[in-house]
Amino acid sequence: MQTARTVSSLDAVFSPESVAVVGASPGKSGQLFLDSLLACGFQGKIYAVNSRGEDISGLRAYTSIRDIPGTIDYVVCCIPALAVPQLVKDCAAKEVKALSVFTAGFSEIGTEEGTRLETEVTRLARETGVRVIGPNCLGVYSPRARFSYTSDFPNESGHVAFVCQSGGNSVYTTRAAAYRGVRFSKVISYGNACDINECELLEYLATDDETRSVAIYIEGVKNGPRFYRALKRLASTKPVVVLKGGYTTAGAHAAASHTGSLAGSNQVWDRLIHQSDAIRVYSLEELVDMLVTLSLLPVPAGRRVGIFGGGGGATVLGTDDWAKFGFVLPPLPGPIKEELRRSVPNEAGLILHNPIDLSSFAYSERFYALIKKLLTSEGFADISVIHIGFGQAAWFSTSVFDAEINFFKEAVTRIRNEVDRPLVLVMQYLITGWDWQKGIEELQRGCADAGIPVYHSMASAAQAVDRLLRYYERRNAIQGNLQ
Amino acid sequence: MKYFDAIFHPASIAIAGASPGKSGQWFLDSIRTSGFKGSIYAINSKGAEVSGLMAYTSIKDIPGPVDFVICCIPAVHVPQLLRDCGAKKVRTVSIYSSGFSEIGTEEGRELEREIVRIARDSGIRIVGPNCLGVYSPKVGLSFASDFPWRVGKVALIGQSGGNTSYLIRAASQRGVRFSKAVSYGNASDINESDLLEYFAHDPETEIVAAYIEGVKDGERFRQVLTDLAVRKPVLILKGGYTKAGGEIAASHTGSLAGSAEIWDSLVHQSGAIKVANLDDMVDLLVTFTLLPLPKGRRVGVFGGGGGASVVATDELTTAGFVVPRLPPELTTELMSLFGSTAGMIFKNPIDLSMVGYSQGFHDVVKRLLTYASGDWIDFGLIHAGFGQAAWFSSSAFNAEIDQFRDFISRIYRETDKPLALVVQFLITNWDWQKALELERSCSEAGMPVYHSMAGAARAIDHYLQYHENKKVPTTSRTI
Repeated sequence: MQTARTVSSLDAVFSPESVAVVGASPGKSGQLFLDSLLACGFQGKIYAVNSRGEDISGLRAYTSIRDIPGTIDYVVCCIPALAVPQLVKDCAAKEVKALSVFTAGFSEIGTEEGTRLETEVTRLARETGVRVIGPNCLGVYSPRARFSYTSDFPNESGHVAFVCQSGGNSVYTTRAAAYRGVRFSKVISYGNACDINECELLEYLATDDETRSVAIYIEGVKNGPRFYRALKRLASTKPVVVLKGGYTTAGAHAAASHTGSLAGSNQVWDRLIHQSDAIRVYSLEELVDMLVTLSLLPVPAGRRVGIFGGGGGATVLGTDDWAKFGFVLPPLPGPIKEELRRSVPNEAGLILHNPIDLSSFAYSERFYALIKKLLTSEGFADISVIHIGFGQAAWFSTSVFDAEINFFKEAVTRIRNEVDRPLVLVMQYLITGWDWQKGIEELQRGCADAGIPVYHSMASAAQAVDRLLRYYERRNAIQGNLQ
Repeated sequence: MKYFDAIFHPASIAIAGASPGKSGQWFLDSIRTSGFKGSIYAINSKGAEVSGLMAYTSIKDIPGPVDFVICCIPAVHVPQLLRDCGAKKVRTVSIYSSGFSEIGTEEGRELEREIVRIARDSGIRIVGPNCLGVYSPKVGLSFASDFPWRVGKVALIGQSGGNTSYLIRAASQRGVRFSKAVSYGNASDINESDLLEYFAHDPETEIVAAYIEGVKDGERFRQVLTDLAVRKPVLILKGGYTKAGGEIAASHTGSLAGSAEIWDSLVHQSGAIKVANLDDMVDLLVTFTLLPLPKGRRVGVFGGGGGASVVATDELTTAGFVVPRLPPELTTELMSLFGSTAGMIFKNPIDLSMVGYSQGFHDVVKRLLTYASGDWIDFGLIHAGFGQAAWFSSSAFNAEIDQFRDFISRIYRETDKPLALVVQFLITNWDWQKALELERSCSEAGMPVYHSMAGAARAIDHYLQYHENKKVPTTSRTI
């Protein structure tokens, strides 16, 4: 059966047991791949190949993969474009399953020679059965196999798969999302897609049990109808987020020189994504926000939002942001308001509405107790937002800051552990001094590690949660129609 | 208008409620660290020494004259303080205390009416209540200790103290300097229209920014804003733009927010620039203060990497910019310079990943900016995409960024095409500090720095639209 064969050949791509890096010369990209692999704790065999057979990063190097004694599942190719066809042949002889080609200089440079070379590689891949990723790509990050192209991606695996046509964008997105608590099942930077392409990857991920949601950065597709079918099928099994690069004419020109892609009109893409029930985003930041939301936020039952903290002006703007995205802010329940009024010595400077401005006792035990009470109060909010406006306070003492941050981190984490309700943290960053940055970062990381979705602005949080809700509203409507 | 002198250039200041560990002490400390040259007096009920200053128990006991009083005592005691200030011939009282009209009770509203009555009777002008007051770097008057001392040409008024602080901090980090800023809270006496009217004629102010939740007198505001906008660029951010936000604005500063439609048409007709959020406001201030006006919408983008360039091109195009093709002669020239194109994209955006931050980067960018007298583009954006690189060694990175910074500064000095830097920050633990240093030193050299391509595109688009509209008579404006 066609499907079964395809699926198994991609399995090898994501779980190699032995890897060779070809072009692993000192100081070159090959060594960087090799070092990343060594650093991320890959358990299988690692071999280095370079033309001089020079030792590298403490490994003995071979001059050809044919000289390597054992079997090789996966080869990373960093040698010049002209030498790549011969390498595919050598891989075939060695029964290599997958070849990831970092080398650029193929169809994306727009010359006849580049296109010819790429066609040659595709032909050889088809003839020999060696699966080729790229060229012009970074390849695979598969944390379960402890396999990665950089050394700083997390070792733990998760449930988000990322199919990305750009290497740089795959690095940025994975890093930024990982920092905010997202963990990945598989990430693939697939470049020019001369053999393994986006359609095959989407088809594969639709049945991948490890993957619960999928992110896609795509510049162009090889086969429109097949892509639409694959996307629609995938999106019917799990949430899919799509960032289309090159949706403007000028952007499409840039995409053509980047990955040799034919980009297609924005209108066509918009319809295609919408009709597949995938979620469309427009920037890397929005993509990261969406992954944070899909991975960490329990789906809220509705659009009522309760907002805590922030300070007067930040709260006014924050309310505008949530309201613009269709959320409602219900009034504070009467009894809680009464209780607050009694417990707060002087009401001045506090705003006992929703949002609640707790400026004067934000970092106290009462803060924790109040938020917990509101979170568990039936019929108040479907989602709670803790809003910290760094840079808003006129006065600031470094000595108390660290303690406050710690207190806050513990309070929020405790609430998260004790109450299973949708809760998010919005940290409005102000990019200034280093001391501040360190404290803020620790808070962000602590909260993300505890599984709390962290956003960097009220508007971006509201946008991401709105997209999540619209996705489920649409899905429920579809399922309602089917019943 | 004379009273504004006392607000922005007081010769002596007293802080009422300057008790140890309380907000009054923070005000006191902020003024002292900001280099205020005049006399500073502390007042607290116990006469307790604070920050090394002897304190008076009443303003009446202060021997010399007092121009400006910062009030941090509970709301109920404010009327008496104002009477004392009247006796002392104080000219301005900035009231930090809250508990007036913004709490929504009749008592609060009455208290606010009362303080205004007392002020009128005694010839005192009030800033606030429920505000942080005045930042006037020229005389070293500030409500925070970390605002810059250096004077600039932007005046800022903010109805929220927090938002005002945020804007000053974020903008000054990126090279913007202020003539004056006022956090004016409930606007019980001195209101937004008074301030805007003053800034229209203030020779130290060239650009005006405003964060406003509600206006006191719509018709006067319309006149003042229109008159101001004819003279200087005015950037306005409205808080409480939505109905829900408007309700919160009411409890924040007691403002009646008005509908979004009315506000939009008012801002539009006046010729002011409507700003969507705090970060856009900062981007616009950076643009209006630091970027020389580009002659048109053609942009050259340098660096960033393949995927980042594709997304950047989309963002620039969506905002109405043109990303022209690289002239063929230039492509040929670059090809012969580098031999091969693999991994580099000699188009616009130009991807120079393989060159890194070397002399080659400097040479290519400089060549592109000056080619054919620079006539193929109207401005340039250098795109630094932190977090995009797969491999990273902190030691090499630090050296590279230092080098990058030097090359950028050199390009900036050696060419006269409008040029800005876009630093895409990745908020993780490592490359942060270095990116911040890069930003700071470029900002200090006078170069506009943005945090995203989309942010840069929106701000520069507003900037060009503003100048396009200025050429057209008000009646036939299209945007």
